Amino acid sequence: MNHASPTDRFSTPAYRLNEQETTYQAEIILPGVARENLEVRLEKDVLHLTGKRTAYPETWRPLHREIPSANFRLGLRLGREVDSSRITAELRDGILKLALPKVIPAIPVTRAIEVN
Amino acid sequence: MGSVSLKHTMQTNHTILPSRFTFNQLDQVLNRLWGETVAHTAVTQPFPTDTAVPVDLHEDQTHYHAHFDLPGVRKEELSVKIQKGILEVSGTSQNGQGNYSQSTSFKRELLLPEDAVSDDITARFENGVLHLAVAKATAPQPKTITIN
Repeated sequence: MNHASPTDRFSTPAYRLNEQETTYQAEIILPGVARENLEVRLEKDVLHLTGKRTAYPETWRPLHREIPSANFRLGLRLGREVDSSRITAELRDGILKLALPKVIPAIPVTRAIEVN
Repeated sequence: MGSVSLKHTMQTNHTILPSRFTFNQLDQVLNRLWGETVAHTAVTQPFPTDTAVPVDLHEDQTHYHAHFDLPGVRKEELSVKIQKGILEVSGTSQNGQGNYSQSTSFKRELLLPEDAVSDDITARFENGVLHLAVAKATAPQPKTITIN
């Protein structure tokens, strides 16, 4: 039986990145990955992502396979302009949407300083 | 199943739109291998997930199971039809927003095995994967031919 999802095999998921005015957006294609089997972890400036596909019951006999059974792994290095404290993630219908907000530039404040 | 050997005739008619590559070669491979060994050797290369619909087929004692990888497709964009023993999964999916909006159509057909009960199908869509469970007929149905 070679159809059990091997936990030690990983592939890089397909993903899309796009930039908007205040945020970067990443869409990572993760079909078959349930929320509880997805781990997103920020380590220094790298966002690590590991997703495990739901395996088929072992009693099922495979007749034909096209869907790659490997699990997903991806590391995204974030630039300095990403505010890592405000990253949000949403998993829906097999796609993980990450919003990576840009650091809000400090607004230069002009202020008169009183001289005593 | 009795003395009749179970034929796995779940063939695939690939009519995926838009398609980045043709499936003719794949179909040939499938037709040749469709038998005991097809499951392990037919296709191992990854499919472009945004255009093609890869399918896994399994069976257990009571059902045939078909899984379709459809990441990013919403449940309401999906259509599953059965006609004359052919199962059709199709739909049009909208991606992106505004000027970047893009729609992708897909369609995949499977010819059901002879012992599949086409009015006993359950469908579940979860995490971008459509799972169809098709019941197997409990006993082989012998065809009686009336002699006039």
